[in-house]
Amino acid sequence: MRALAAPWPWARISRRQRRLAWLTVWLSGLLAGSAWLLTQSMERALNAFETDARIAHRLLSQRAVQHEAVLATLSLMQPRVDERLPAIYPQFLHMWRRSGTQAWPGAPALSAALEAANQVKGRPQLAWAELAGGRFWISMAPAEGLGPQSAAYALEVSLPLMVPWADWPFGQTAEAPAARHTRVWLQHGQSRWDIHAGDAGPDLRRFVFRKHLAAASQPFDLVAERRYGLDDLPWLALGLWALGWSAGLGALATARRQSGARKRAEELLRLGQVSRLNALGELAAGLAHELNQPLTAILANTQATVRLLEEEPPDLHQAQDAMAKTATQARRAADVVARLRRVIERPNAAGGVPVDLAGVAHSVLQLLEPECRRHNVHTQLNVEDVARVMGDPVALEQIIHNLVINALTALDQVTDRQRNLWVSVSAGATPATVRLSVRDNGPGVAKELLDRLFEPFVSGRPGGLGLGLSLCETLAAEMGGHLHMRPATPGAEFVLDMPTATDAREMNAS
Amino acid sequence: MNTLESLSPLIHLVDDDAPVREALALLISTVGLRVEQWADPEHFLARFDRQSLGAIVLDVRMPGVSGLAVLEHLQAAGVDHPVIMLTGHGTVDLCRRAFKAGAAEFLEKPVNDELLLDALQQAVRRHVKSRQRHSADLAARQRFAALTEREREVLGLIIEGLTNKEIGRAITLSPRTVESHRAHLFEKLAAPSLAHLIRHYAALVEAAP
Repeated sequence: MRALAAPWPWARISRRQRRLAWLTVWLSGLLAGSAWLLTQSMERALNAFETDARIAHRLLSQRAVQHEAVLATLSLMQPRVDERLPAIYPQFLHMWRRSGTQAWPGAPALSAALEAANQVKGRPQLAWAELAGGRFWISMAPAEGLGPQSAAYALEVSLPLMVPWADWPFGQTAEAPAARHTRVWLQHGQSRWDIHAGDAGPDLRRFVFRKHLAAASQPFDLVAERRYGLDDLPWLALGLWALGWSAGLGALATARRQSGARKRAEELLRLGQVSRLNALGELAAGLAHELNQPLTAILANTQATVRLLEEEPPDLHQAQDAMAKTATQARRAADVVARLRRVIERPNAAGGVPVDLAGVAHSVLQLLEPECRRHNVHTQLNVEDVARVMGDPVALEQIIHNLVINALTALDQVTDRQRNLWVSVSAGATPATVRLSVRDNGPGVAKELLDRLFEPFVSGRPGGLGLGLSLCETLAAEMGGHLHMRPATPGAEFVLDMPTATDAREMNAS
Repeated sequence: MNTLESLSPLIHLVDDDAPVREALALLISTVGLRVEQWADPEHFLARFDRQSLGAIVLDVRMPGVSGLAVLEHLQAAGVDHPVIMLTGHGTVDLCRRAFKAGAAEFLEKPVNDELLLDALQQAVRRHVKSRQRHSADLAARQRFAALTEREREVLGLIIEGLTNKEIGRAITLSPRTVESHRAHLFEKLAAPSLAHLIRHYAALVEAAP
């Protein structure tokens, strides 16, 4: 007999603990996945932002250096004020020139600032900045060695026109959160000029970029700020992950539960068989002892009587006494048999309910599927659309179970061909019956067993108790059915004919 | 010895099932054996007459003390009665254990009368013989103990096969004196022949210091 499998670890913890464990796994998986997605998204945003900010810084720095170059060229070439310059460089609103000891034109504050800027020779200098107004002035003193009549130049630069919008990295697609959440401005001291403003709102993180323009004459900071807001979150990816993870875990849990339930069912079934066999063994042992005792007494008494009667003269008195005792012991044996019959008989076997025979066959085969696989047997179930039968579902299950197990055992002897088992449910020979057939292509039933196949304690199997078929037949007869065997070539076919459930009975039952 | 044989042998029958016990007792009594019935094995162990001549019939399956346990108990206590075991279902293992514990016979119930009675009579015969041998041994030992030191010495040399002359030389006695010791020996040990003397007393001489 096969040992029962040890209960798997899951079975030892309670249902509630199991549920809690699943919940924990689900939650931690969900959180870990989301955290990973979030980190990835933020890193991507940060990288994009830094790249853009660096490009913007480079573009503006190039413009600033260009301004210095223009100013240096003017200082060297000493041209007259040329109105065509702003046409070439739109960011230059005006070109200023001051020769000799002339004073700078314009407002006194501005001209003073320009004058002050000219104190430093040889390099362009920032003279005046109006960042809020979007302009600034840079100026350069006359180069050394050009004589006293040489002129100083100044340029009025417009900030909006200085930005190379065609190449500007931010806001290529203004609708994207990256554009809407980025704020870029130039800062000089306390004053600033917004290149673009960006919208306000709560932020999860804030990236900041700040760098001096690479031209000493224009000491402005380019500052960029990127707000990582709620609408930057990778909502689609998060949603898909949550959905996928939950679905996957759910499927796993279901599969686990189903296999657990199936394992339990199989074990229960096996346990049932074992305990039935044990009970039967106990019953048989007890029965043997209970019958043996009176038989011993009967035999001893009769043999003693024979001897007493052979004596000369025969001891009639003792012989009579012994025979009376023999009768008592015979009655005792009869009582044992009667008691056994009462134990075995099932009460209320006549009743029944409408049963879907095909359904029962299907569930038994499903239950025995691992067994079939183990015996390497190919199983086929054919079901016609037939009426329900009247019977006891448990008894029917037991009959089919026994027949299939018998077939599997018989098929073990087949080595030269595919092992086949056909189970079918079809209309019976008469309209009021349904027929279940279990057929195998095994070695069949030995000829000398054919007539006694359904008798108890007759078995074709070494070590078999010979109770299976006899029990099946008894169960079938109790339900008004009939079980018989038809030889197949090769193999054996067992046919169970069951009465159909008439409509009236079916209605009563439901 | 005659008084022992004149008593009819007694069979102790131990079985808790009264009808079975009574029937078996009746059967055994038809061949002239006396039967004492015991329903309780513990009662039997405590009370039965160990001097009695006969045999014991034991049922294996009894409530309380099992037949096998009773058998082992008897063996340990040095009871020399042959024991016949009865069982309803005799497995090879049970049979082996019973014989190992010293059972004389192992029979299955329901038991055939010839088998049981034959076994009983054989057991009784064996018990009588063993008791006889035992009492003969006892008598020989008593006689041997009554010998004098010199007589034992002469007996040892006789058993070794020496002639009177050789014995006289060996223990410096005149052959006539040896002759008289020898006559005393045969008389004291009730030995009708030299062969009898050697058969019954050689072991005792060797065992003596």
